[in-house]
Amino acid sequence: MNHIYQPSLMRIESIKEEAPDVKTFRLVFLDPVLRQTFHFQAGQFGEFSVFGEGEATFCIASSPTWQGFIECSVKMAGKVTQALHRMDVGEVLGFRGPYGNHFPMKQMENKDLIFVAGGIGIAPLRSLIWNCLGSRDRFGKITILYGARSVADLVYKDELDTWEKRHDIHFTKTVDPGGETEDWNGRIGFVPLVMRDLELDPRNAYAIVCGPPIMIKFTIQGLDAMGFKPDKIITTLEMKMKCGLGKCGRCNIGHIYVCKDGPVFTFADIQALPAEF
Amino acid sequence: MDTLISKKDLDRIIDSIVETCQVFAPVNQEGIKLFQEIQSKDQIIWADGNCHRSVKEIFFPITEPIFFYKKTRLGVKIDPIQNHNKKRVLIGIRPCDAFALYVMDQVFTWDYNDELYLALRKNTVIIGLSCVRPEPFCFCTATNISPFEERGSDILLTDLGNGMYHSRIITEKGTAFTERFKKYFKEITPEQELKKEALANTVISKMPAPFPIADIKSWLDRNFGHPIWEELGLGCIGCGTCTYLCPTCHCFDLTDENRGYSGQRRRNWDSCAFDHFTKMAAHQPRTFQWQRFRQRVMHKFKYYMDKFSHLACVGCGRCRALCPVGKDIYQVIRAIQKETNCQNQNLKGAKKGK
Amino acid sequence: MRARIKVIRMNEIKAKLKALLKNAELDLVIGYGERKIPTSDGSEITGICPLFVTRESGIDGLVWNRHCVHNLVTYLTKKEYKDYKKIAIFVKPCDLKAIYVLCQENQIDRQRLLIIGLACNGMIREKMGISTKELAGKCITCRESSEGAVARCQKEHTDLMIESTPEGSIPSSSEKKALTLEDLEKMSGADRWAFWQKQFQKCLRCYACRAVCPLCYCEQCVCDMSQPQWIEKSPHLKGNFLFHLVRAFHLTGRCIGCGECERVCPMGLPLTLLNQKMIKEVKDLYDYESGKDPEQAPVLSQFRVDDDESFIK
Repeated sequence: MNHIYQPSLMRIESIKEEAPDVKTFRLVFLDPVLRQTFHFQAGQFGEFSVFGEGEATFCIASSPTWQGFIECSVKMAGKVTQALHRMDVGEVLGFRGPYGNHFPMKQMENKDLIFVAGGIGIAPLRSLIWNCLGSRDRFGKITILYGARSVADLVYKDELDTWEKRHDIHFTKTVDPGGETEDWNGRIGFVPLVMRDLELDPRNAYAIVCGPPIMIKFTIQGLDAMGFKPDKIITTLEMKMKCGLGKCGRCNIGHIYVCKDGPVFTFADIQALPAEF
Repeated sequence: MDTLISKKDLDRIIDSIVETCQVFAPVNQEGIKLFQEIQSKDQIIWADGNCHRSVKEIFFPITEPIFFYKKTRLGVKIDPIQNHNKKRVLIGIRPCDAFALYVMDQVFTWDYNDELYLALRKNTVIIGLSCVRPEPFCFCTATNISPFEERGSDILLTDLGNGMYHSRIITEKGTAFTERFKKYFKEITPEQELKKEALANTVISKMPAPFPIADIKSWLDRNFGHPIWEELGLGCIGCGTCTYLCPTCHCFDLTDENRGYSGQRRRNWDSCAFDHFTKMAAHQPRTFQWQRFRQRVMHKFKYYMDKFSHLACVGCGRCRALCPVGKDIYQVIRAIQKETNCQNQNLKGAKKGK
Repeated sequence: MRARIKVIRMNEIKAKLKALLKNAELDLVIGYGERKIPTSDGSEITGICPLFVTRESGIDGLVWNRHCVHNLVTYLTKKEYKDYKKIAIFVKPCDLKAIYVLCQENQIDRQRLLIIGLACNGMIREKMGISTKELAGKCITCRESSEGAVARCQKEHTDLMIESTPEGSIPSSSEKKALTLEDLEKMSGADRWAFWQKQFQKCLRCYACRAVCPLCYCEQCVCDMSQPQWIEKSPHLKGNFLFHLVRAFHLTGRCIGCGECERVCPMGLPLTLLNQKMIKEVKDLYDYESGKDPEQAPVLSQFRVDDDESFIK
């Protein structure tokens, strides 16, 4: 009997070391039909199986416009992620998905977009950014602010350079004080503080924020101070997940299930939730 | 159309079906009453009192493999589990447990169909038995069902005494089953119909009044942070008994078990009462036990209603009876009802009788 | 607070507790209270449950009777009660032993507690929430109580005491004879294996036994660990065997035989048999009984030169 908890098999096509404890895995479905037909939207996640260790939840970090493969960027934390980091190119993983809701790209059209990310939190945003850049003329001014604890901890370093060089993106990178190297040419300072210098215009704009909870908290405070309305601030929430599709009862915050009603939420949605996350 | 069946004929039916399909009924296992597969009608305990463990384990097993995997040089091979296509009959299931299945169906078909559960549901005929003598901790009438609730059963039997059962067909599966054994289901007289109705009315009239569910929900909607939760949840030791015996609690865990290079992924019951349930590497949203206690009450009386159409509590009373420290969800809801009354009184300035 | 031991009646204890709460010399009282249980036919039965009192008005709700079967010491190591500076707790002689072990293991500060010792000659067994007329399982195996005997707390380790036993007649032993350790030891290995297989088949891994045990206070139980995963989480026979045997081993030399694990098990597993066996082993090998004295060192953290070594082959 096949059922919803049975993963599809994927092979690791390549592994990129992004940071000391972060790797990006490029995965290809073994089933050629799935390889062609698989489709997802930016913001959605999957349940990735390391057989024998378990499953873990990662957002799909590649753009939906890239055909034939998906990517996930994984920070080493517990049992499954550590096992994943020990895997080689050519090994097989399981995948279930795509699950969850997605970034509201339709609503974001013709708006200015401000992406604010910290650390590994840039992963879901990277999917969205490349998705938007794929139809650049549909969107207004694009601003990207990305920071990490140190230069080594920045992920997607090559892509950061690409974004920096583009004339149609206002790009700022920063590291926490003490995290800079001698040849660092970006900003130095915590992301929410650096954001204050950016002169962001809340009229006709969406802010999309993702990162460690403390960074999100202060960033949203800063955006609020700049005049961004709660329904124009978008973020993602993370809770412990198992089934990923609303049955195991684990990831709820109030009556909202992060795996079904999220992981993408506006700040207005979050304000309506009980303080349980 | 209702019919009548004698206990002797019911026994004959059971003798017949144990040969052709799996039959589950309440049996005594070392002093504990459980739903188990039976080989003979003599194993069945018909006497009053619900089973310790609810019937959910027949459809949602305590532990089950969900697939097998084998790691090879070329990768991984997944072997699916066998199809659940054995025909089964459940006999003697109480209306609260049967209705609980109807409640659980909603989550197991929410956007994604859980075939592991649904295949077992599809292949099972449920013959319910109404409760003519509810147990002390029962409160199904408070949750808007009754000891004669029909939803959830395919056929509902009522013991009329003197060896006769009133039988009502509820679903098509019930019709098919009754057809198959129609020689045993006899015509019922209007007097006997009335006897059943009178019995139902007598039993129900003595049971607790319904909760004012809309008011309770409205209070729960607005009072997540109310200080009463810490008081209500005090003393809970997080033992998991309530969730595991509850006929509608469906939280589960997925875990891999290896035997060398091959292994299986299993689905096991899990409980929101455990502290590891929501604990992540960086963060634990429910640090204290009273917060986990609140989660269960909220889930039963609010969150389920937000998403689906009924309370997730069926009033079976198991959690109240078996909680080692006397936590009582019935009393919790009555306490909230009192709070609702106070708040309403304060708001409206008028006396509201309940 | 740790003045001379006073043996007094319940109402005097209540008055004293009220005064201490009023003067903020006490933050919390953990005792037994009555709960009224509305039943399905519109009547009410009375049950007992743990009562937590932080205000004087709550003190009157404290009771002491034959239904006070719970071991309240389990709450002393739970994080919800860690912030209370001074706690009064009612303990039966079996419960007090758990406090001794917690003191030995540096899990609680004796100075933080006001221990109210109770005299006990048998608690009543509950079945499905309803009281029977029988003796609770734990009382049958209580080391200090036999028919009619009274177990008392050691005076030097309590602050207040009630010497009168609960009112009413002593419950009788169950007609159905429960399996004893002696019965189990007489079985052949194969029979014993079959017996435990049958029992562990019922286990749901609800962890009620662990949650209620006053000495299972580890922040992360070895059975919940995932790196490495020592014990499979699934409630199949193998996982259940491992869980219960590991728990029995982790309680070896520590378990004081309060019997709560067996009382709370929703499936009626005879868990005390496992712990009693280990208690017996420790007594035979090392002449040690846990819970006798808060000053004694834990048995597995000490040795004597003449310790039995016959099992080292």
